[in-house]
This record gives sequence, C-alpha cells and structure tokens, in this order.
Amino acid sequence: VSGPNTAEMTARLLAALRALDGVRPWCPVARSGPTALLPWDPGALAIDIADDSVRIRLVARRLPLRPELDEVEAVARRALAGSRWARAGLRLVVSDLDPAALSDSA
Amino acid sequence: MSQQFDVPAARLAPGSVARSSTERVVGEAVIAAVAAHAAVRTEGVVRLEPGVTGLLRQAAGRLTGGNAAPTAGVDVHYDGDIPVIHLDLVVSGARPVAEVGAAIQRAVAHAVIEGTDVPEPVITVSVLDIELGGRR
Repeated sequence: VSGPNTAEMTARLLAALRALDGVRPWCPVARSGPTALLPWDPGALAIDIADDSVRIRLVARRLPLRPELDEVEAVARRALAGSRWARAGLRLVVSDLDPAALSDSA
Repeated sequence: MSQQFDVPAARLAPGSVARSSTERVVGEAVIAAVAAHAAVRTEGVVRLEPGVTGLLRQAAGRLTGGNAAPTAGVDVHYDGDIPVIHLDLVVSGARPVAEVGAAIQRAVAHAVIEGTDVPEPVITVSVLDIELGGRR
C-alpha cells in the first residue's frame, strides 16, 4: 500500500493539530528547557496509530469542547484522507485543560 | 498541574455517537479543572483543599513542567458514562453550609455539562473547614 507511513502520518496529524487555536497535542513533558533538545518530537506521544484506529490525545485551550472537537475531527479526517487510515476509527481524548480555557470562560 | 490520568475505555460524549467511527473521550483531569474553577467562584467558598493525593499531583505537574489547569481538591472518576465528582473545600461562615454546598453542586454541574458535553455528573461536596471571617 502506498501513501504515508506511520511516522509520516503522525507528523501530518501533529502539523494539522498545531494549526488549531482551540487545542494542542498532549505532551507529558514541557516542550521547552532540556526536552527541547530531544532529537525527536515529544508531541508524537499524543498520536497512536494502529492498523484500524488512530488515537489523538489533546489539551483543550478553549471551552466548550464540542466545537473544538468538531474542528479536530475535521482536520484529522482531512489528514487521514487518501491514506490507509482513511476509514480508521478515530478516538479523540481530551486529557488536560490549558489554564487559558478557564480564563476565557471566567 | 499536568497530571495525566489514565482514561478508561469507551466513553462517548452525548451527540457524538452518530459519528460512526469517531469517539470522544473527556479525561478526568479536564472535568476536575472545570469543576474546580466553578467551585471556587461560588459564593461562600474560600478555597479548595487538596489532600495528600492532590499535593502529589501538583508536585508531579511541576516536575514535568506541564501547563494544565489546577485540579487540586477535586477528585473525578467515571461510573460507566457518568462522571462522579468529589470536592473537598473550605467555606466561609457567611452562608449556611448546606446552602453553599447546594450552590456548588449547581454551579459545578452547569459548568461541567456546558463545557465538556458529558452526561450530568454526580457531585459530592465535603466541607473540611469553616473559616470564620473568610473572604466571602
């Protein structure tokens, strides 16, 4: 099967997610300080790609979640389109909330 | 705090089922953050009171350099699809405790449902202390 491999699809999804204002990819460590020196993108830990499913972990920057997840779903489906994961199950997991999400709704 | 909870399997947010192959999961930390935010803004609440677990989560969050909304004083788990939220807090003596507790439950339920789209949560409140002359 031609098309992007798992690493390429991960990078494609990360780029799509990082273009959004309302969410960011979840990352277990800060992307600054020593971790900025890592030779790989720790943001990749937010994406799990299996044969028939794709899981994306997110940090929400805005509330309510529904419109933000609608947008995530749309960009993720666009990124997956035409690849072997075009019909994969998509699991969007909002793992954390950015403090900015609450300051906006205060 | 950047505490990452393990997310139990298969929780569908209302309204998402029709999207046949997409599932949406709201983590406990997200619900806890929304609940904490709503609770401390309720009249009569002085502060949330994190227990040992909450303090450990805060420390872990600082160690990993995470940037997540605070959840200390709030514990969340799922009972099936239903979020169960428990809050430990300190209230002022300005209002009857039962009245404050009910106001917290209403405020938290509203904020969590509106913000995260999860089913109506079960909310319990423990008032650990009454701070006479508290700020509210």
